[in-house]
Amino acid sequence: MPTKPNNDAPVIQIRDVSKVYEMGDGTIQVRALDGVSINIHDGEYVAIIGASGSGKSTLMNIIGCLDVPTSGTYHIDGQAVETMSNNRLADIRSRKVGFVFQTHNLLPRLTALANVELPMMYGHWPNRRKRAEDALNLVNLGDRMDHRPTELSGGQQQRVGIARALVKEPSVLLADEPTGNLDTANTAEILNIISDLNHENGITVIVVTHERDVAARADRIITLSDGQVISDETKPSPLMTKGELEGV
Amino acid sequence: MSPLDIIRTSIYSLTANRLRAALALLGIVLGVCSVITLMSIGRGSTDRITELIQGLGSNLLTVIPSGDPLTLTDVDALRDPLYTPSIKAVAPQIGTFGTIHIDNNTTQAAITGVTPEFLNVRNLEMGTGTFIGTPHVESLSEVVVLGAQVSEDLFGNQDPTGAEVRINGRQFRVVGVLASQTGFGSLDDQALIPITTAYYRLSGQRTPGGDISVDQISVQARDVESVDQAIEEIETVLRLSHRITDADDFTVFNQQEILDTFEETNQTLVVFLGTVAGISLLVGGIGIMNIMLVSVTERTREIGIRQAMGAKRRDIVAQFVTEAVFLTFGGGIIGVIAGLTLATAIDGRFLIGTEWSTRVTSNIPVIALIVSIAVGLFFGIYPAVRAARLNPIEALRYE
Ligand SMILES: Nc1ncnc2c1ncn2[C@@H]1O[C@H](COP(=O)(O)OP(=O)(O)OP(=O)(O)O)[C@@H](O)[C@H]1O
Ligand SMILES: [Mg+2]
Repeated sequence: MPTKPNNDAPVIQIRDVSKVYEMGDGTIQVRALDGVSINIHDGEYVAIIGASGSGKSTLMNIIGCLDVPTSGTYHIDGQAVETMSNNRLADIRSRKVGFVFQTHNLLPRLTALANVELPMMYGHWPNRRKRAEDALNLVNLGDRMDHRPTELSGGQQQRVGIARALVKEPSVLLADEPTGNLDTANTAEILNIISDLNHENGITVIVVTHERDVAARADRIITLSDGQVISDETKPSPLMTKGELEGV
Repeated sequence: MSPLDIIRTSIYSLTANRLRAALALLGIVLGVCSVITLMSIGRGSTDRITELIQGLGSNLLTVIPSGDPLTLTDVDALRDPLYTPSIKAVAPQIGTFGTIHIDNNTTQAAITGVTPEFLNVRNLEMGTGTFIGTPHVESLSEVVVLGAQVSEDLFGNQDPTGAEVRINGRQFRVVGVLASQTGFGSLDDQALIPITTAYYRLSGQRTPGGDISVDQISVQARDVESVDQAIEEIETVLRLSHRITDADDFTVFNQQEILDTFEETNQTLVVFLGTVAGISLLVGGIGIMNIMLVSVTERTREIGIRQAMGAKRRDIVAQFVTEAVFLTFGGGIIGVIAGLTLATAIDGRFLIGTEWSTRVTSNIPVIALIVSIAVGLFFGIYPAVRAARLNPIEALRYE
């Protein structure tokens, strides 16, 4: 699998997408996304940054097939999402994309292990338990498998959410502020895991973040402001040093 | 989502709110319990009525006058095998009331004048002594056969055979006592005397022609198949002897018809009881729907998370319907156990002034269980579909 942007058809192709929220009786309109066009190719590592309320989560939800745009088109693997049946969308959520939520969205009454098994249950995976244990070990939660979300710290909950997204080996990993609640050591560890998935397994990664050093891991940084893409930069060379990067 | 996963998920969700599940279950338990109990009572009473009426004797037809009186001449005509080949025996009777006493013991009884055929036609058995014989009838003998209750009232546990009693002031000799009968038309509270004695000695009425008029003629057909034929023969003979051209002055009752009428009436009762019980089951079902709707609203976020994890609509529907069916099926099982226990407990007991008889047939619980599953499916579908229709992102944002 290619690990760098290529000229093949993009995995994710967003054309002039807008998302308008109507409030009250339609009197107030919020343009969460306003004519966004982005292409993301297989194997890319993309960071999306922007001020709070700039539409980052809204964009991620659309990419993850959890929400639909008000206007514009979105193709995933060349297929128009607008024309897909509910079952097909569920299939994409189940197999194609792994989603790490800004708010962890764990099922409160299930243990960490059962939460991680959940997507595999809907995708009819074999060896669910073993895979879930491996995923939890990967995020350093091997000793917390039988804890429920309320018995875990915020950072631990976030890591369960990451394990749940990783466990099904998605071809696209969507992470909305995956390290928001983590300390430096844990952040570095999670970022390493994500980088490895990108470099070694060729998984396409899209990360929303506020933090510069998180964004710095990505090959491409897209900046949103008021629902519009104001910059879309690809790093000149993967061989750039950290010092050089900070100078950019 | 595999069936095992669906079941596991549903059980897990139900156990999370045990009290609520138990309360929802209760409605179904009560519904199923009342269905089982009422159906068993219905079956039990049908059985009892059938048993009672069949106790009257087999292939029994009853002729009663509905205009001109029936007479012993009619009885003789009916006995002629040339005209009535399908009739086995004919037993006329005259009824009157009387006071029977010995020494200072007195009891009221229906006094019935009969012929020897009465014993077999009415399927009677003797307790002690003998029945009224032909010589008794011919010589207007003052002999009496007592019903079991009458005998007990007058003589207690002693055998009264050979004792003398006074009926309306006349002296009668007891020749026998009938075995006690349970059943419709039981003769326990009657005393039987020869029909001629009843006519000439006890009752005063006379027919214009000097013939003996009778109140009722019991006719025994040869067998079940010849009952209809026997009815035709009776009608032909009586129409001829009464010279009837238009409306009959007598009525023939068929025991089977009486039985059918009773069973029909009872069937109506059973259906009515079943409907009442069914309504309570329906109310239970609505309770389940209510609980499930509340549950769907409460668990909106859970549904959103499951959808985000790849649950299809059918997975969500399956989960919620299975929860509803578990509730109703569980309620059904408890209801069946409670209903069977209740039906067995009241069987043969005297409660609220009635003797209850119940019969539990194996198909009642099976039907009740199937119905309770159906109730779960029916009332669980709507909440489940509402759950599955939720938009994933809105569900995830739900607070
Ligand atoms: N369901 C909704 N109804 C109305 N407005 C909404 C809804 N969801 C989001 N918005 C609005 O859309 C805009 C973009 O929201 P979004 O959650 O995408 O921001 P964000 O960039 O993820 O912010 P943050 O960094 O704080 O998470 C915001 O102004 C928000 O108020
Ligand atoms: Mg956000």
